[in-house]
Amino acid sequence: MGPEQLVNILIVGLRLSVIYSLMAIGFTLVYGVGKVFNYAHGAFFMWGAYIAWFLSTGFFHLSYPIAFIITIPIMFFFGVIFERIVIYPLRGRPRGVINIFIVTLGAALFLDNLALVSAGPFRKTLPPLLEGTLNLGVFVVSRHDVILLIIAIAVIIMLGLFLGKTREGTAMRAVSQSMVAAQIVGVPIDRVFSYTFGIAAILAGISGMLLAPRTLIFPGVGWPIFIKAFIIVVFGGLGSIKGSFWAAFILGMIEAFIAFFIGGVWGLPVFSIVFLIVLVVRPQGLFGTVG
Amino acid sequence: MLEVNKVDAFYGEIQVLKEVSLKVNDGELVTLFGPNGHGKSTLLKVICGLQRTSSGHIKFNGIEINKLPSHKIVEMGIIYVSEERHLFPGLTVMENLKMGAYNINARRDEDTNLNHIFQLFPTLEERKKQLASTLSGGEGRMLAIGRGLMSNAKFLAIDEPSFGLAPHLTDHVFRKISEIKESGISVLLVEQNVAQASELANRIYLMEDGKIVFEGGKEEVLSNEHVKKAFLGM
Repeated sequence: MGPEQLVNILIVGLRLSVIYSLMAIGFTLVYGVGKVFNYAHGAFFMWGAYIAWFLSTGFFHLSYPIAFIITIPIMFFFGVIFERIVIYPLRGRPRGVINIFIVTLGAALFLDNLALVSAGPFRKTLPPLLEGTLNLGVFVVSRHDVILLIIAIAVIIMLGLFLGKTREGTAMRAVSQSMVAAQIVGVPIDRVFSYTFGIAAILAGISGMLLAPRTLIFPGVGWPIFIKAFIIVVFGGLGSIKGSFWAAFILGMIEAFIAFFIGGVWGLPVFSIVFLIVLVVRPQGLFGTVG
Repeated sequence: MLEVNKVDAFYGEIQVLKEVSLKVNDGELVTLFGPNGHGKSTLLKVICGLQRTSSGHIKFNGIEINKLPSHKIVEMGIIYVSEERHLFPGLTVMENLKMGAYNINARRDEDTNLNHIFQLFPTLEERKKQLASTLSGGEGRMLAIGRGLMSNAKFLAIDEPSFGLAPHLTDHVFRKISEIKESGISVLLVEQNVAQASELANRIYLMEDGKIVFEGGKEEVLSNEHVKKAFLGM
């Protein structure tokens, strides 16, 4: 293995890592704040890509970077409306947690089939955000990968600043730690739940849009990445954003090396093995707490 | 200021509050005594919108509040300081205090209130960068009270502030509550520590089995032999 190949693997690994990070952080945020296991998180990923496709090549013929930007607020409202329709009516009711769990699975299947009905069964593709390649001496990197890394890392940093430094972000962390205490200080918890879903949908949607030029989009495309995001979240510790970030990095890199040495189809099986090992050795995950 | 009128409340099938009526006037400190598990905490939670009434009314400055969501009630200046503290363990002391000023009416006074609280509880300033989970019991209680004061409270409902505290810390907490009262904030105080709490009180209510069974000034309560024996264990 020469240095070019190693750099290639590392770039693939980084690409996977940041995309998995975005997916896993959104999933764990919803779990931590709302105590909701959202089966439809992969459908958010898929719909991010589909909405960008409808806005660009599919229907409105906007240039892809513009479609990309417009899709972000659309995804926010997508998440907020999803929470209002699917989660809100069941929250706080008897057996709410298990009912919400099942209803999000139903909603995920509905969203898959909505994509099938509205866009058809054929695979769609999205153009790269930037065409062409970047030549760095002996290394050749596609410009799309560079912009993908920049956008994904910028989004993660912005989310970190939002959660760490702003009043609304602190309120989100507060709700995740104690709902009652949040009510005592006057946090409107229903609103926090809605915009948590909005943010998770943005993160999943951006992942979908960034990855779509690499993988094709079709109904159900979100499932494998949803399962991987879930494994990452368990590996990092349910509800821990820091844990999800590091777990995504580790597993993304492992997957890149596996794909290079053994073959791309081995990604998910390796994830599953990691999942089993984590459950046996450290069930609370990297940064999780017991109980 | 606060008027509770014939309020009923349930936990599932069990009626916890039975036609409870109670009043706290402007600037008054009213204490509520009674055995454990007889509805005192529930009454505070109902006032603050954390639990619902099934009938009756609660009015604050003439406005009916018992159907409002809890964040609206907090905006009006009605603040609950819980016996279980209900802090945010993974936020720093500073972040906990700032969350106390989350409601829109408190934001503009955030800095003034913060200074005031650091004067009242200097330990909190020393520990402002620590996570709340690392505080001792007494410090945690001070943080809970401090966080309540960050909200521009006009009315504090304080639930057993001395619960689980060492005696010298209890004295400290009661002194602070008396300072809070002197600053013009009305207080409804639930306490087990009858001797110290009745020192502070303008008026006293006794609650038994979800009902208010006695109401009066502290001399009336303390001179009533039956009340002393049955409720106050004196």
